[in-house]
Order: sequence, then structure tokens, then C-alpha cells
Amino acid sequence: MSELTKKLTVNHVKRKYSAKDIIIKVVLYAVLVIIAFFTLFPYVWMLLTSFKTNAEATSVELKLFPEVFKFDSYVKLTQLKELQISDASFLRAMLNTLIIEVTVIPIGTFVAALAAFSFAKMRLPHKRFFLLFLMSGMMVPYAAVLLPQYRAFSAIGWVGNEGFSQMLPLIIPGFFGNVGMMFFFIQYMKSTPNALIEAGRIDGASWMKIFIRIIIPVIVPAIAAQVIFWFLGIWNDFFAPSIYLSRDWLTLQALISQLNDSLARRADIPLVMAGSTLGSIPMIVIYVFFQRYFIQSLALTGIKE
Amino acid sequence: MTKSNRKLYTKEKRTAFAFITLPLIGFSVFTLFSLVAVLVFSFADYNTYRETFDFSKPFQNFVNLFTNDTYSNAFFRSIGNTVLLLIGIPIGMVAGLFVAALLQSKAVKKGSKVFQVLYYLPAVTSAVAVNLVFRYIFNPSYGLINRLFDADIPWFSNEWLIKIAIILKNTWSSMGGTMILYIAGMLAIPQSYYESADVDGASPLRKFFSITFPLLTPTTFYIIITSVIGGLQSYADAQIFGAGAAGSQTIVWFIWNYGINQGKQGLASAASLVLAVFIMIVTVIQFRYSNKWVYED
Amino acid sequence: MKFKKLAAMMLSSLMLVSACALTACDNGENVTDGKTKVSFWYWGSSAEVSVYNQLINTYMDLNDDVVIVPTHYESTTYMTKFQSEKTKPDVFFMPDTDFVQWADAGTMLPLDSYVTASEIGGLWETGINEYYYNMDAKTLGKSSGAKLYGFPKDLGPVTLAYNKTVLDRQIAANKLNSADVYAKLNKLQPMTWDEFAQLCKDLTADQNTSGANRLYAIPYCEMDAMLYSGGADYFDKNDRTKQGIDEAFIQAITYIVQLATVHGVMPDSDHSGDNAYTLFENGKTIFTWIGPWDNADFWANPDLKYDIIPVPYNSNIAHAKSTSMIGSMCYGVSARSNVKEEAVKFAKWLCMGSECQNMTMYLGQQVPNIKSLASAYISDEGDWVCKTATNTKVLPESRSLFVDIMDGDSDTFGFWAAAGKTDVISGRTRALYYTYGSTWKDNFTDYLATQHVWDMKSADDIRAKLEAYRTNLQHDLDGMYSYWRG
Repeated sequence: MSELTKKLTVNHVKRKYSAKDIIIKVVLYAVLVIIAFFTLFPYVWMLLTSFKTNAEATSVELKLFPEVFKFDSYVKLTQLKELQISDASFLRAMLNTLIIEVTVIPIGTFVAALAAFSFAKMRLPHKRFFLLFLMSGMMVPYAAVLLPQYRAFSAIGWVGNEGFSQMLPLIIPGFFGNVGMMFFFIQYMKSTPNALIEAGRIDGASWMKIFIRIIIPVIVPAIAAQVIFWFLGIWNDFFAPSIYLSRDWLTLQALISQLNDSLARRADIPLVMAGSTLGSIPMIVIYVFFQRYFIQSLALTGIKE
Repeated sequence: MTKSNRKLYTKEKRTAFAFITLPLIGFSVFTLFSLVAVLVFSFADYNTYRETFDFSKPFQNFVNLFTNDTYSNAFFRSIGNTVLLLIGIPIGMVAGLFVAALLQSKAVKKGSKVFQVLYYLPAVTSAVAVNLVFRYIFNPSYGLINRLFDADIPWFSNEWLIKIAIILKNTWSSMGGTMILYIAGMLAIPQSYYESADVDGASPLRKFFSITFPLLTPTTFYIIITSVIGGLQSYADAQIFGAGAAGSQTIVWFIWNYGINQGKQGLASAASLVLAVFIMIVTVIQFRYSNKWVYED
Repeated sequence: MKFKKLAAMMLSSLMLVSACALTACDNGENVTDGKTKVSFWYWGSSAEVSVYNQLINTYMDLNDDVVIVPTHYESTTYMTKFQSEKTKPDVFFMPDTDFVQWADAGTMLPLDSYVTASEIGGLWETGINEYYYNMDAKTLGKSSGAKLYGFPKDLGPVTLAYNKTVLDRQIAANKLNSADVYAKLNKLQPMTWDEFAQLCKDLTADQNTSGANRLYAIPYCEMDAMLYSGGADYFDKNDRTKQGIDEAFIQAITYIVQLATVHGVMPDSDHSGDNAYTLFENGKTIFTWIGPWDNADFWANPDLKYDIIPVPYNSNIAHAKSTSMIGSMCYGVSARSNVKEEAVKFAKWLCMGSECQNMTMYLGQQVPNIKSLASAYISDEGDWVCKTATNTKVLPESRSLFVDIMDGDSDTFGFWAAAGKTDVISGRTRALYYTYGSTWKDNFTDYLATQHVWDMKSADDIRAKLEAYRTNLQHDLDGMYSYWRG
């Protein structure tokens, strides 16, 4: 066995593989391919189903591929409102999701980073108390505070109205920063040298200027990592949007789940699968392009703390 | 301290405080205030139809939640379901660790990046899409599984089968995230540890169990905390996948069902409070005892 | 400097907030361009949405001083949105299941002073009587002291339908006598439960496998309809406070469960009926449960030939009578509406306006609320949307059964007199209408699922489970009534 170990660990210098090595290699790759098959199959099934007719999707005969590749469901997706299948059009729902993303993330990130700067690099009185105070909020589940928030938003007219203001319950809380993100920034900033800040102070720069000119450029990788995950989180969020939003203001995930609801008894499976496919593609594309960031930042988040 | 220094310090203090005001306000308004409101609601009978608050029996909601069969059966069932569904976490962790070990093994060189990217895909796919696809796959009448095996497996109506289906689905979607975290953890282990083990002639399995796994405990600990807290808050499984079926009802679904769907906000607030306290206890216990078994240098 | 920036940031977000809040508050205005604005909330399938758009346009043509502002929500979120809306819409859908909570809360305007006795007399009693409520005695239905809080939208008798193509194929495949089978599918002669189970077995005898790919006779059972037709109910018929798990109740549940586990004519994998239409339209079941509103969707599929039959009844219980479950909904008017007159006028038109009733009838949406239109509903004459040059028959051919069910125990149209029989077909409102909230029924369905009653073969086991639940059901009902009636 030790012989094998040596080969496995130092085989990069050797040119030749023994039969045993090859068998191990084949087995390992076979396992990886099987797992990849199970990982990918639901996507394949979702995509292929979206090209079927509803009769095919629900018929007795089980076929992997559709008889004829039909784009009807995708055409239907572009006409959801006209066909009165849902209250918002698909593009509109995507736009709504983006509205939340672009309003919440820049402001929320700035606020979180600023607070982190204060905690990490400034002489803030009662620092420990404030930090624990804010961090304790991370332990409170969203579901627990949902009801009073819902009532409060409803009392000021942000729930159950027809206009844009129904989006505010999803936007405004984000403006006050994200505590998880702030904590991550604090950890990250601790490793930036104080000398830079000292130099800034001597030059007479204000704290805000130091933050914007010196700190932000240094923490860009941390910001990128956190923004990616916040973006992903908002894109895929379903609980709050499904409760607060309606009509033209549905986000993508709320719309897709509504496609399923409104057809509960007369399921249009291909349409639901087409919606799920189109709803997943943007994130998958972003992920494939930025996968290095995803993996790096996930690693950053996970290792320490 | 000179006078100007002191002045500067006061100014710095003020600025530092100003920088954290927004998060403080946000936390106070959205979390603290809401928690206080939950506390108040949970002692009231709030009738959403009549819009009346009645504080005459302050503990009625808790009594109902824990002792009145009308609500306690569903409440305990939803707690039981939520806890049982946590079984998916170790399964997903073992799967993730297994895949991470495979991808990091010396025998797998080519294509390891590609597999890594593929396996992580479910983590960027929305819970809505995942639940809808799996609901279709498990549909008893025309789903893939029952048609493939020409079986009548009651995936949704049987309270155990629906849990198995949800656990399978959650393992599928959580494996990738766990894998990445473990890979990151493995990369952080100094190569020198393995080199000295090689000198001793340790087998790959032995190296894995005596070096890799113990040194990964911080990662394991992190995954457990985040997934348990996430699992306790699961909602889409019950709402989309289970469509409210008895076997899939979770605590958050219970809160939604009574608080928003059925207009019993007092009862739902009491349940929210129980959930919040429960999650806080879990977090504190996990952090308190973490030092005992987590290897940290 | 930094304070300024921070302040500017906070100020701008505040401004955004208030700007948005302002846009939300513009629905206080009721008059624009001299026209009265009436808001209207409803739900429905895409077919129903287009019907309502047509209805609203017709109404605005007839009344050019009124603007109807419709809002459509998904049925799944409708009640949540209604609950959270501070200013309730002027006119709104209110399902029978939620009616009593909102009538009792004073949200709904009493309508008695806006209608005449003869107008009321022209409607189905089963429909209009449902929406009377006595606020002091806390009792539902017409009684002295009760007020009318809603105009019925329609009455939805739910009964069994069969797919003719699949039926004929199964008759041939199992070498059955077609005339014998069709004799059992009679709109004036309901089958007994034993006959129905036997027929289902005969029709699916060639399906020897059990599994997702076989053909089933029926996809699920509508529990209320089966209980009613078994002479059972969840609670005592008169004061509705005593639980009803009696012999008839146990027999009814046992029959439903055993259709799947013993007779094998119903899948035991899905009792929610969620897949029922898909299975029926794909020819994977012979029977399913439908209401009059399903016609519009079925007509869209010209290959689908179908007809309806009465709900089979339990001949072992002396007082059992074929009784369909009737679902219903009403148009309510907000008690706090600023335009009550106009709102009531619109709601009334939707309920009993002849233009509206004719239109929805011929579109296959409903049986008209006005009794005098029943003969037109039964006739193949008229502007039915499903009629083509080649096909002049309107499906389902036995649709007088819908009328018969709505007519309850009486024989207003002489269907039975003409056949020389006495009326043995009736209808009753679904159980949730009678109670304040649905917790008691959710608990019961969850109990059946978590105790695996659906998987049981033995009648004794099922009986034991139901008897064990007797006190729980009574407890749930007691709690509900004491909360409602104080």
C-alpha cells in the first residue's frame, strides 16, 4: 500500500503509470462522471421538458426528448400578461429584480463598509458593545420579524397597493447595510496596514476621504466577493417577494412560483420549466464567467471567523 | 494628550459613531423594534378580520401553541419536520467532503476544475426553480421517477416519503457549496504535514482521516452552523415542493400559514418568538462548545 | 464635510421613501372627469379574466358615468392581499369559505335596502340564502334578523364527469355491454357506491399493473361530496356544533380509502386532486370531478367528449341521498366605500343583470343565477361559444343535472315529474362555508395523512383511526365556535 501512496503522491514526476494507477484513475473519473450526471440531469430534464407539449410532459410514455422541439412555451413566456397567465410580464419581472439589485446593493454595501471602517480602524467608544449589538441581529430569523414588519409596512401603505411603493419593503431595509457583510469587511480590514491611514491623517484628509480614497481601493476584492453573493441572494430570494409583491411588481422568482400556482390544477409543465430555465440562466452565466470569484469568496467566507 | 489631540479624538469619536448610525438605525427599526412587536403580539389575541387586539388572556397563544391540540399538533409536527429535515445536512456534508477529496486527490488532475464548476451549479440556482423541477420529477402521477419505474409511490401524500424526497433534493443542491468550502479548507492545510506522513508510509485513507479531516474541523463547524440555521428557516420546501402537505410543513411555513394565510397573528408571533429563541440558543451553544472539538491553531 | 455627505445620503433615501409613499396614496380620489370610480377586485383563470374585461366594458357602455377599475390577483394570494389592504375595494369577490369572517367583522355592507323582494325571488334560493348573516345571533342563512351581505356570483355544483372516448375504449377492451354501462350513467338515477365501485373495476379490469402508467377509473374523491352522499357531514346539520364522526361518516371515508387500497381504481398516491385535470384531459382516468366553470376550458379542446353524472350514494345508510358539494362566491361591497350606490349597482348587475348572466352562460363559465334563464342553459339553442358549423351539440349533454343539483330537494323544472320519479339528487354548500376559519378541516386532512389512513386496507383500522379522532374534531369545532360566537 505504501508503494501505491508514493506513486499517487509523487506521480507528477514520473512519466509512466502502473496498471493499478490506471484502474484507480478510471474508477475515480467514473465516480466523478456519475455524480456530474446526477448534478446536471435535473437541468437537462428542465430544459428538454420546456420544449415539449404539455401532453408529452404528462403522458404515460416517458421520453427524454420531445417529439418536435417546440418553442411555444418560450413564446408564451413573452406574452404572460397578454395571455393573462400572470400579472407581470417576464421581462418586467426581471427588470423589477434588477431594480432591487441596483438600488440596494451599492447603498447597502457602502453603508456596511463605512461601518466596518469605523469598527476596524477608528477609535469608536463602546466598540465591543455596538458590534455585539449589531451581530445579535444575525441570529434573529427573518421569519420571526416578518409579521410586525409586514404590519408596519402595511400601515404606511407599502403593502397591497398598486404602485412602486410595494417594492420598498424589499429595498429600504437594505439601505441600512448588511451586518454579515459588515462583519466580513471588519475581518478583512484588520489586515490592511494602519500606516496608510496614518499618512492620510497627517495629510489632513477627513475620515470620509480616507475611507473613499484609501480603504475602498484596498478592500475591492472583499467587496466583489460580498456583492456577488448579495446579488445572488436577491436574485434567488423568494420568501419576502412572494409575500409583499403583486401585479406588475413581481420579481422573477415570485413570478415563476406564481406560474406554478395559477396553473395548480391545470399544470402547464413546459411553461413552468421554461420559466425556471430562463430564470436560472442569468445566474448560471454570471457564475460561469465569474466562477473564480465565487469560489474564492466562498473560500474566504468559510475558512476563518 | 494635548488639547488639539483631544479635540481630534472627540471629533474622531463623533465621526466613528456617525459611520455606524445607519446600521444601528436599521437594526433598531427592522430587527429590535420588530422583535419587541412580536413579543407584544404574542401576548395578544389579534383578530385580523375585526382588527381588534385583546390582551385579556396574555398567555393564551403560548397555551394554544403548546397544549391546545387544535394548534399544538400542527406546531409540534412542524418542529418535528424541520428537525428531521436537518438529516439532509450531514448527508450533504459527507457528499461534499467526498467529492472535495476526490477532486483534490493526486489521481484526479485533468478536468478537476470543470467538475468543480459543474458540481457548484445547484448552489447558484434559485430555490424556486430547484423546487419546481424536483416537484415535477417526484410528481406521483406523471413525474419522472414514478413513470420510469411504473410505480405509484405517494411521494407527496406520505409524510415519510415526502421527507425522503426533500432530503434527496437538498443533498443535491447543497453538495456543491459544501464541496467548495472543503476544497478551500484542504488547500489551507500545509503540504509539510503530508510530506512527513509520506515518510512514515501512511496510506491515503489514513492520511485523510488523521490529517485532512481533523484539520478541516473549522470548516465542518462553519458548515454545520450555517446549514442548521438555514435549515431551521426552510420555507420553500414546504411551500413550493410540498404545497403545504402535512409531511413537509416546517416552522416557518407554520408561521406563514397562521400569521399571513389564516390571520392568526398572535399565535404566529408566539411561534416566531419560540423559533427566534431556539435559533439563538443553537447559535450560542454551537459557539460555546466549538472550542472543545474544533481544531484551531 | 462627512456629516454633510451622510446627511445628504439619508435625506435622499428619505425623499425616495416619501415620494414612493405619496404615489401609493392616490387612490382616495373617487371622481375623475365627472365619472365615478368604482374599484373592483377579483381572481380567475385567464379565460375568466377576459370574460371580466368584456363584462366591465359592457357595463361601462351601459353606464357612461361610471369607471370600473378592476384589479386581478392570483387566487392563492387574493385573500392575503385583501386582508392587508387598508382601504378595501368598493366591490370584491368573497368566497363562501371566508364570507362569515368578513361579514362578522363589519367589512361588508348590508345590501337589503338596495334590492326588492322580487329581484331576490328570481335567484336560486341556495345561492342567495348563503349570504345572509345574523350579526347578533351569529347564524348563517336566511332568518329573522339576518341581513344580506353579498350577491352570489355563481353556484358551483361539483359532480362527476366521464371522458366518453376513454370510456368507450375501456368498454370495448373489457368486452362490456355498452348499453348496460350507459344505463348506469344516468342523470336521473344515481349509482349506489357498490355499483360505482363495481363499474370502475369492470372498466379497468384490463389494467393489471399498478403504477403511474396505468389507467385509473377516478383520480381522487371530493371528500365533501362523498360525505354528503353517504348521509354524513362533519357536523350536525341543524346547529353545526356537534361533530359528525358517526357510522355514515366512517363508511364514507372507508369507501374513499378503499377505492384506492382495495378496489385499485383510484391512485393511492395523490388525494389532493392536484393532478386530476391533467390526468382527465390526457385520457389517464375515466372519471373526474368538475363544476360548470370547467366547460369553458373543456370546450377549448374539441377532441374531448364528456358528460356528467350524479354523485353515487351510499345505499347502506337509509337517509343517504346523492348530494353534490356546491362551492360558491359572492360579490361584496365595502361598508366603508365612498361610492356605495354605484358599487352596489355594479355588484347587483354582475349578479343578476341579464346581459351579464347571458354572456357568462354562453361562454361556459357558469349556470345563470337567475332561475328563469335555466331553460336557456339546458337548451342547445343560443349563442354558445362551443357551437361550430359541424357541431351543434353543447357539452355536457346532461347539464340539466347542474340545474337539478342547484335546485336542491325541489323539482322546480319538473325534470323528475316528467320522468314519473321523485327527486333523489340534491346539493349542499361545502363544509368550510359554515365555519369561522379552516383550521379544523386542515387538522382533519393532516390527521388522515400523518396517520397513514390513506394507505389502509382494513375497514377496522380506518374505523379505529376515525373514532380516535372524534374528540379532537369536537375540540377543534368547540374552539372555533367559542372564538366566533363568544
